[in-house]
Amino acid sequence: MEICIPLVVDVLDKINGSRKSSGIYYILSGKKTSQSLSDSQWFGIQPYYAALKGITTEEFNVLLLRINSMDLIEEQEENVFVVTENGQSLLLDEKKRMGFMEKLDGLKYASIEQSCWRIITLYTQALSNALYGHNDYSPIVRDRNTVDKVKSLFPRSEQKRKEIAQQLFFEISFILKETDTRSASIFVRKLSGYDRIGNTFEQLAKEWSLDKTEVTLRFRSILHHCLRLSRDHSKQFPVLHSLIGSYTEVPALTKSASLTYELLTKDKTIQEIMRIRKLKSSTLEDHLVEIARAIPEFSIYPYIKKEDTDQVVCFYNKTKENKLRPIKEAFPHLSYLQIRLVLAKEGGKIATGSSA
Amino acid sequence: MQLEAALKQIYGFDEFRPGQKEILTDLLSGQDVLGMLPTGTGKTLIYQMAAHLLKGRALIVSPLVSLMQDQVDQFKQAGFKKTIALNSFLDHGEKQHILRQLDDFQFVFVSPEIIQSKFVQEALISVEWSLFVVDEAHCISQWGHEFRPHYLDLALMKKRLGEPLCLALTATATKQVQHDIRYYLEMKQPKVHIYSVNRPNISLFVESFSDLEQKQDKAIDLINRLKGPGIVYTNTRKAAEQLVMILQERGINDVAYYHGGMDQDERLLVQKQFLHSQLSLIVCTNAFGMGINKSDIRYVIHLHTPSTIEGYVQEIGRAGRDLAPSVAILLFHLSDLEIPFHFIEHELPDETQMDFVLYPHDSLVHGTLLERLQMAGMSETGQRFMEYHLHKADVLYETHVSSDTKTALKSLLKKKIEERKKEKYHALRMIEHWIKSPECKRSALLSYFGETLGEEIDNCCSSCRAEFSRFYGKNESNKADYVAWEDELGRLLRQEVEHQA
Repeated sequence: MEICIPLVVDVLDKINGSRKSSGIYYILSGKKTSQSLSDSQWFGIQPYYAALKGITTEEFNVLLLRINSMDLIEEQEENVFVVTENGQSLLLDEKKRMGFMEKLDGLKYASIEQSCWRIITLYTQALSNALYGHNDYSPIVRDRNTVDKVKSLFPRSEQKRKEIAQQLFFEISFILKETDTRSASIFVRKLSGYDRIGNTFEQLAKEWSLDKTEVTLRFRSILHHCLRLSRDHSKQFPVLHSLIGSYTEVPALTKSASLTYELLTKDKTIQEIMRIRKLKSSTLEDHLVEIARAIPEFSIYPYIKKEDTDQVVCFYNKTKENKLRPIKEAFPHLSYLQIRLVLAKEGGKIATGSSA
Repeated sequence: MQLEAALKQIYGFDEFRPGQKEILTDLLSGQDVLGMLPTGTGKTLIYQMAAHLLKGRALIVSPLVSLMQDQVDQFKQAGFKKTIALNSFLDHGEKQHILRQLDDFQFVFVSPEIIQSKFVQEALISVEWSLFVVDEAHCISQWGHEFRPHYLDLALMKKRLGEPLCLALTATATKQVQHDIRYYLEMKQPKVHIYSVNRPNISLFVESFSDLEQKQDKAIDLINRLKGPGIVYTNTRKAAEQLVMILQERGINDVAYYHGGMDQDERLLVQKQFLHSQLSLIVCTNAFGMGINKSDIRYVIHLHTPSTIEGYVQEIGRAGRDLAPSVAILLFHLSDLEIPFHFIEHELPDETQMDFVLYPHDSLVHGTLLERLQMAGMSETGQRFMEYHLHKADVLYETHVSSDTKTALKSLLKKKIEERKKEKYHALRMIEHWIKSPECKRSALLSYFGETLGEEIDNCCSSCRAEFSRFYGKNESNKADYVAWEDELGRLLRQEVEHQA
């Protein structure tokens, strides 16, 4: 069974009828809307954000129909699907197989994974060829930013190259040893180097008799793990950190939101920022929510009282209510922005807490 | 002698290929040159060496935007690091960055479209040029198979750059096209070096089928038997993918398809795998076969006929660049012509699309013609065509055009389109005729380009009863043996990996 089937069932299970299929499509295809970003976090499905990158609406609807016809899900009301008992037992059966996705974090990394991978793979190719004294290889990445970056990082002396190769071998091996053989092999096969060009996802899918989506997800899971470890344990992963630290260390904000954040850190007020940046209040609110979600140090308490936050969290825990409107009805004195900030800030924690 | 020494020093080669030295000598003595050299005989080397020996800067106009980066890579790999490409793939910031540093580059590739921009022109004019290279120069002629209207303005550009030496290169130009190149580029008494399009080391086979299934079986049988590496050309992306699927079902694994619809990173991997002989066969559409620069390709199969003889010659020219015996096989079925017919009919803008640009809808009335053109949903060629003519008429950046001008423009465009279509149908009929004719395939090809075949050639062609079998051979089995990831990672990074017993 293709991996996308249990994956979609799992997502529908966690969302439990609170969103229409179009909203779920936005999450899985990785569309950058404030709704899909906050939903991913709110429902505890951050790993799956952008899991089916590139899928079209039509393809997604066909997939839903197929899963529906397998009796794994049913249509509760128009375009709202919930998981059936069959679906539940499928999730139990497939739990082990889906284990590799624990390392996936689409919400955090989907926007930087391509740039990071390009650097890792080009650097490895260059290093590998240099180690074998082979200088006229043909680079497998052309993107100018990547090429410039790799050039600037590349060790000049042979001694240094040897040291780095040893360290990089250690870092990648360490990460791959923590995972299953298949995923590890897929990751290594994607790499290029001396006397070998990396494989395409399609080729790996054939080689391992897996569907292409599963191969892609296995690869991305490991890549995300590399990004996570090189950020959180930069001392243990100095080479990976030197390659991609500049991406992993800045919060994954949209350009516009990061400008807003910069002004906030300079103690500008919301009103001032709106004036300076000529933004509508709705846009600025989206930025605040985005910032609350992405930046742990960002405090929401200038915008909402601690007691109110606690009450919203408490209300959620009692009702498992995922929609904004009922929460707003329960707390008429709070604005939508305030509620959204709580959800953005606490969403992950709440969702993790509830599923444990 | 000096030239040979330079050749040895730069490339490590002992000898020039036919034409290279002759053209170089003329360029170095200050003569413009029109060179026609068969594909795969090292045209690039000529302008690399010329610019190097002239200690000057070369501007290279090339229509193959999607290949430019390949060319830049190849230049850099050959040691010419100061090479850059200016084309529509760059964003504004990157373009500016390059233009500000033009002085630092020795080889600058440009598309004919990008040098229409005033901004780019100003920057190009501000530095000195020793060499003005027009690659694929046949694109300047309506009679050429890949006419690019913007090529017609190159003479003007050449003047504005201070008339550097001009080198026009092509692999396939009939007499008429050769004339057009000299005329439109306003070349000054150029030395003309025409080398035969004949590639004696490539045997030519054409086989017609009345049954599509039989044709496919034949293709698969050939792929099974022929010694690789090889290329199969198809006329659609889907056909390329399907053939690969069928081959894989039959246990042929070192094969991949390659076309413009693929993810960019993955496409590059396939291309490099083929160059690196990890794949023994690549199945591709004609639009994307050109990035493949590999010297030991042993066979080219056409699963469908190309739409022009020039296109065919270019495509089979990717075989046997190492001069070893190679084979080109065209498998023809009458239905092959449907796609080119459709293409010719729909490639250039139709009436609705023209009206969309010229007679805007209320909501589009404020856009410029260029903006509307980009929204009209035309093919790339159609867009280029319209862009050129609107630019010529000085209305490309206007929002409003008088109705007289519109009427005149529209009738001009329609006339031009009809002319183009006629030429293209003619070209298609020429290759169909060549396929069906019982004549010697090689003589017939040569006579299309106004040449006669002098010598007798071994294993000439299917009409001369050459045999496939001499091109059969075993492909070395791909080393796809399973290697544990630890070992492979260790090998890549040259580490000793300890094995547990």
